[in-house]
Amino acid sequence: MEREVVISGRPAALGVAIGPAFVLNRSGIQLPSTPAGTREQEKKRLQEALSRTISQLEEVNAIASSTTGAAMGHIFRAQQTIAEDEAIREEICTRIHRTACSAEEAVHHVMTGYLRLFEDLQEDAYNRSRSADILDLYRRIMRNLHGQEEPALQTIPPNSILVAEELLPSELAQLNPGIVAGIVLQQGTPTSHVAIIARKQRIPMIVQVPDLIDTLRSGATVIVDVLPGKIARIHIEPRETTRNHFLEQQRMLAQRHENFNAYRGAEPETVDGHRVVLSVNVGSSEDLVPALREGAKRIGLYRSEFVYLASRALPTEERQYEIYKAAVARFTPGGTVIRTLDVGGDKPLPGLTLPHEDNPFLGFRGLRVSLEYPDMFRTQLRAILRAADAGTVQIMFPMVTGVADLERALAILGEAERELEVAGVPHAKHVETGVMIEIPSAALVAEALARRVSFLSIGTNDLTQYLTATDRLNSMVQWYHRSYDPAVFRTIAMVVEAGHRAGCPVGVCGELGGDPLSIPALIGMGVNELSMSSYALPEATGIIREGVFTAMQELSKTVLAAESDAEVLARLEAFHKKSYSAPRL
Amino acid sequence: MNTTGTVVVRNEHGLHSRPADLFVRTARCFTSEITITCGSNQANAKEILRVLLLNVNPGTEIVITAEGPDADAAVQALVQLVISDFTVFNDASGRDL
Repeated sequence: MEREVVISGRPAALGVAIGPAFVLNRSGIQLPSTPAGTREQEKKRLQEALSRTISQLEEVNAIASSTTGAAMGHIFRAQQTIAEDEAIREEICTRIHRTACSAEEAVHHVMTGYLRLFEDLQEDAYNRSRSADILDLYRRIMRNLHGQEEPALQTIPPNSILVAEELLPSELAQLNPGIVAGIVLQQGTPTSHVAIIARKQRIPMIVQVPDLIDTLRSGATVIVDVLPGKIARIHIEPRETTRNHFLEQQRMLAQRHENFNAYRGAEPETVDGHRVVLSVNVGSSEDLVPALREGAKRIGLYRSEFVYLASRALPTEERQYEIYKAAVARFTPGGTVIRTLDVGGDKPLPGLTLPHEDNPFLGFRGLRVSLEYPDMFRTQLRAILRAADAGTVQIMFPMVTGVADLERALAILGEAERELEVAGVPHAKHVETGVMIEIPSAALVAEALARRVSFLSIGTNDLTQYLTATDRLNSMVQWYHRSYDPAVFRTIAMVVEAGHRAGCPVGVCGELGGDPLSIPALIGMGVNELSMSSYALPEATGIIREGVFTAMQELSKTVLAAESDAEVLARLEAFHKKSYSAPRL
Repeated sequence: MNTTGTVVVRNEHGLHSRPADLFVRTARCFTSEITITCGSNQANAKEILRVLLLNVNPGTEIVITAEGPDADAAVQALVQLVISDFTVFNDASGRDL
């Protein structure tokens, strides 16, 4: 008689893993019952334990850096910084001196005091997760005081599901890659260092699974089931049918990963020869290299805000020019669409005092800010025009509401061009412009806008926010922010038709543009370009190359006829299931 | 000598593990007493846990105050570290930039 138990938790790293549980039962830290030595002896023991701790951490740092990449080594460097902290050492010594206690008791007193302070931080405080690092260090110092070896994680059988109350970074770093198939924690957070390592190593991981250690014994079969958009769960002693389902799921995920890898950099053309443009969204200079690695040939959305947010004052024309040029030169001939500054009351800007607003999403942001500060706007436009001389550039204006603000922006662009002309500074002439369609009023007059520019690009995140009147940062109304709402798709279809009537290509650069489920419907509606985060590119390429354009057109008709977001989603999912061998991630 | 500098933290997660670590290691290179103030909270810039407990979020302004013989250089180095998005540092580990 099989009894399958299903428990849900919070997702920390995506994927499916099946294997025998290895329940990590740590013996709790024992405080010594033997009386302490003299104060001087205890202080000496402490100093020795701390020195040993520091040199061990240097070693673990080196191991972690070589197995999980340099970025992970800093976790242990951070622990080392704590171990080297004079103030903490002083505090422990003072405790020994005052109470004549053992070094263990003093370390316990001071470190658990800090742990409590971290646990008192607000639930969402980023640094709250650092308590795991302090705990890790605390245990290491205690082991060194006792002369104990590191816990024997090496005894874990390969392909185990590691189950523990909490896992410490140094423990995961000790494991050879490939030993642990999945991680299930009773505590833990998705922002912990262990979760970051797990995501890098593609180890499915789930945290905050209640009543785990009591329920589970080592050797029991466990399935870790963390798929996007689904509730993260574990299945203990699964039925044969459940097990087979997840084995299949796992096989398909692996195959899918392999399939899409093969599409990296391939031409985005459907089976029946319909071509679209795939491009990448860039939000900092550091995005450029990963984008090239994922096969990107064009930047469909260059978010110029980062250039401003990284400086203390408004960035000079020269500085902007250098930064833009670095991107433009790398993405020629594919091209770079530079979106002019898009900030607002919700994001402070150094060097510019923006008023506090009760309703920033409906307030002073995007092009509205640029038009109010024409000097700043011209500086940016001059820098872009100069950078355009190094390759192919298009300029895109954000938060356009209608023809009047677009015409003002174009007039200022004309002024910027004349200024460069007069000064005799080399720059590109007749740079193409485009409008970001994200406000319903712009969508409704899209054809008039399109006649004044060379392309349109639909920003679906803001468009959804404004169509559904839902502040996308307000968690109380997230349910209303429906990306799959038929209103969103109908607006996109309307804008595509309007753009095409005016001879403009139309792209999508929001979340939806990189969404594997939505891509076939968007292409079916006639969207010409999809711009997305670089990691989404190989899969998007695969979806296009394995798809049939005429079938996508049929799909788009049924999506546009749908009456609710649930119906849209059902149709997109059915299409995906029918058309693609690999499951959706 | 007493010097003060003000800077806004702009990196993705604020003054968290790696940036906080670099900040403290940089501070420890100076003999001056260095204090970091964030709102109404204060911490010794050389004490990593105290700095972490400030939980400085992105977009937050911090005030760095140094008192001692190398106060000017200390404030300058720390402000530069934050402005450079934690890419320009000298933490006495032989690495810079």
